[in-house]
Amino acid sequence: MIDALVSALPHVLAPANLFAVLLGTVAGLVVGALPGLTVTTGIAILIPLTFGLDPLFALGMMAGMYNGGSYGGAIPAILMRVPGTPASVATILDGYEMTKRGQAAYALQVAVVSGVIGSVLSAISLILFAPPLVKLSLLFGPAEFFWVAVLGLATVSSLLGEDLIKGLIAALIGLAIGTIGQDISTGVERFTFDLLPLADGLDIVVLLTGLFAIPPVMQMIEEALKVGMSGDLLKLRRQGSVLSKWREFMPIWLRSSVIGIVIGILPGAGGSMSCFLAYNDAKRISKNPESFGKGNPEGVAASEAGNGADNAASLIPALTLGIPGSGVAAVILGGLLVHGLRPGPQLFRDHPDVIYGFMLQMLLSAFLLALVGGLAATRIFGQALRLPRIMLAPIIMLFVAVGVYAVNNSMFDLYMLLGIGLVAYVLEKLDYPSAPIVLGVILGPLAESQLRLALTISGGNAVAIASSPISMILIALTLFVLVAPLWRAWQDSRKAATA
Amino acid sequence: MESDAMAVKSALTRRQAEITFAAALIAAASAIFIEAGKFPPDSAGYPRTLAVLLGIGALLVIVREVIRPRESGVQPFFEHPIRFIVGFGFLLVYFVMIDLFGYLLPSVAFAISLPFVLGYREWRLLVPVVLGTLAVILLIFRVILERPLPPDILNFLLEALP
Amino acid sequence: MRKLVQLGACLAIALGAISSASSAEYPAKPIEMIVAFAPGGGTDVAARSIARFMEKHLGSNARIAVINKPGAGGEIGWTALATAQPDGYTIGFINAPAINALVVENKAKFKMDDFQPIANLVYDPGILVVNKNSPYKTLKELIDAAKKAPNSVVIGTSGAAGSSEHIAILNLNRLADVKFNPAFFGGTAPVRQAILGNHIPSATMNLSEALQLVREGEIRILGIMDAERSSYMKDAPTFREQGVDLVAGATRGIAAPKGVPADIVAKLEDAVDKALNDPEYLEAARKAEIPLNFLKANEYKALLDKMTTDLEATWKVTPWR
Repeated sequence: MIDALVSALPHVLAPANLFAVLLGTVAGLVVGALPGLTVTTGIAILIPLTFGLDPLFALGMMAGMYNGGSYGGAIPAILMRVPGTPASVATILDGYEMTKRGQAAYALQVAVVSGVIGSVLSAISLILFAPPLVKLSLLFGPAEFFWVAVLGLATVSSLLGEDLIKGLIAALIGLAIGTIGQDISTGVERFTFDLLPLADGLDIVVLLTGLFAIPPVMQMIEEALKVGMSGDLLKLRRQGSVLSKWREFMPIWLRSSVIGIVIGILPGAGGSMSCFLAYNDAKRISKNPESFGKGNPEGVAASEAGNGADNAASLIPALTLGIPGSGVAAVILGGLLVHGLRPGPQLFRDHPDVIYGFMLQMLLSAFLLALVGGLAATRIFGQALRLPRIMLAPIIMLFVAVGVYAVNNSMFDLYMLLGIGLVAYVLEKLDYPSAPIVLGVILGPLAESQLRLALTISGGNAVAIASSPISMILIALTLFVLVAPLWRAWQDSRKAATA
Repeated sequence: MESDAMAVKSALTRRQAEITFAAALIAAASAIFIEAGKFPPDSAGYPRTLAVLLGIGALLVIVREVIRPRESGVQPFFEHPIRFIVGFGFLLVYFVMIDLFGYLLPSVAFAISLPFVLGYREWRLLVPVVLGTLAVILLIFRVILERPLPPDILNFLLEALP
Repeated sequence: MRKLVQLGACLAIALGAISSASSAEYPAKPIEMIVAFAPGGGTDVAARSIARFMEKHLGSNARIAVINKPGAGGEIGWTALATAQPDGYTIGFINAPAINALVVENKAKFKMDDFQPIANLVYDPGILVVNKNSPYKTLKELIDAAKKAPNSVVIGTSGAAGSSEHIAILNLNRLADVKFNPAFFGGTAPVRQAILGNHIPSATMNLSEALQLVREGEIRILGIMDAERSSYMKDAPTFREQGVDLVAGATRGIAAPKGVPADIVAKLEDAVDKALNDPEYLEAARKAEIPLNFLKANEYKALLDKMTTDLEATWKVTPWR
């Protein structure tokens, strides 16, 4: 492996290939930052253009796009509360609150540094452990994935907000929305009302944009403020530096990265879930869990580190087995195939230069992100916040309209967006939290379909579903996630009583 | 949905809004439960369970609001109901116009007229920013990524782009 | 503002008139290629790849824009294709037999006659695989096991209920007089994961998706659902050789709405043929081991018709919904 790395290095550092990684990272930032455009779309469009080019040039652009795009989503999430991907939702919770308090620049800085650390650790784990880690992922069958989904749903406990009933209602709304569309195990279409666009369920981008982007736009219109944010708030130096507080952030970065890497290796839920799990974990170990959701930079750090750590890790099963750990990994797999690189152990044997070169490029792009990410985010995107709020509202809508249309090229999605946005505005005014809805929509279908599969395979034997060692570990973790906050609350109240 | 219809009476209080919305949730949960009856049992069980839980949750919210002390009830739900209706109306008209005429002209009209109606008059900032934003959007979506825009009456202009 | 709108409308109509008058120089404007699946999927990558080479061979600066209209298992995009203007400026990828199945079960708003087939590009036969540690060495052993315990031997499929893979399993049950139990994974990646991790006894997939795993010895092919053995994998037996006459596979081809002038169909057909023989494309396809299978418009139509007839017969015996 060391030999392969050493011999791949000169190719990676060739000027053309370096440029490819840089270009990809910048393009990824832009694509990730615009609602409706995703890294998947960006890479899909890129693939045919790379015919006949040096594989490392093509792969470098893909690597850059992957890491750039995954951070890019955090920019509009923090600045305007527009989530580019489900993964940005956990970032919004504290990131947008920080922006509201005038800490936009600091929030972006935390996001980029955390994202870079997650991506770097993930790329290193890809280089070091790809073959052994893949064996771990194969231990997960439908029963285990069901418990993964349940564990993810349990993290809802950290997103509920202050009003328990409303938080649970929000989660139930999400689970109910998740049932829309074809039930793959019976072929029946549920709650589609014979509308074709609903047959695959409500599109997640439409839902996210409706839930998170429309309410602040409506709020801006209701307030009709003729001034924008002061330019001073976007200057970094006044707000302190993340790096000087590295001691505080380090445990969160490490724990979130490990969570991101483990979830990344498992095909299925992917990036969005690692963010929620990492967020939940950071809140659980924090000294002030109640400050989460109110602009705690540690929330942003956990979410973005988890998100970044998901990237390279999701390539582990993709490169070694041809099983993509995420949607983006699936498209990258397509890109490899175009260049005649078939995934599998022989890939490491026959094309070590290319494959270790690609892994190094994942690492390189993570570092490049640190350079261009913070710069682009605050210098260019941040300026939008200085516009008078009354003008910012329609400008955001211009991006949202074109982006949501571009997802499926369908007007139906735009009308759907308006309907969801209106309900979301009411939900928000009444203090129903939005994040549990998203978690329900993403994990509900996963839990239901995997449970059905597991039952089909076990011949209807419910006990078999909980019998493997991994299932038991997951069940134990779920119980821990659910019970830990209660335990803590009980201890606090005891302390208060004795004091 | 029903809360915006009631918003015309600017007196909609927070408490009324809470109860109305929870009632709407109960209605939605009932609809889910009934609709699920049309599916085979394998597909119906899960949504029906969700519907029952949702109904119970909404009922709890209503009960809590009814027994809550009086003073929290008088808080108004909308800060500016008129602006809310104007804003929502503009969004609806904007989307319908996109459907009819394409993306470009309605976007210019929407992004300039909404701030104007709300009392903003700095033309020298407004017009360049709107046109500049549209240019960036066209550049990224149409020229670089070749994503299609809604069918536009200015399509011949778009086709002239490289 | 209204004047501007009117002016724009006039100009648009005028330009439209000019372009339709010059149909002799087809293509005079960009051609839209509808893909009924999301960007990045197999069909999308195939479409974007071939589009570049079709542009080259159509000549006169032809431009093809790939438009994704995903959803409802392809139904949304195919409906859009069936109802588009038959002027040759809208073409699209269709995937048989998935598209025929929608028509046969009377779910879709279109009929197969609403399409003008242009050319088939890919034929990828279905296969039945087991894990390398599976006790079943041959198709017969697996069928015997299923006969002993009906409904307990699971076959994983990447599709949903009613997909072409599900239909293949139903046909297998009918032809071999057994009861395999299909498990619907809803995607290629999860079913691959499940078979590699030995969580399911067997699975169906398409041959091109399994080649590398078979060569590595991670999974074994029990049978290929094709009339003949594949040139990519000569030692894998067919179902027919093993006494079960099951032929099933997935195709990808290009079609236009019905009513496109014959000379334009011929031009497009020719462009696909030339693109598929372009050395650069062939090289990429060979590397990626894409099972190319070029069929001209009339041959493609015959294949589509046969698939429809077969599915109608299956639907009568074992409806899949």
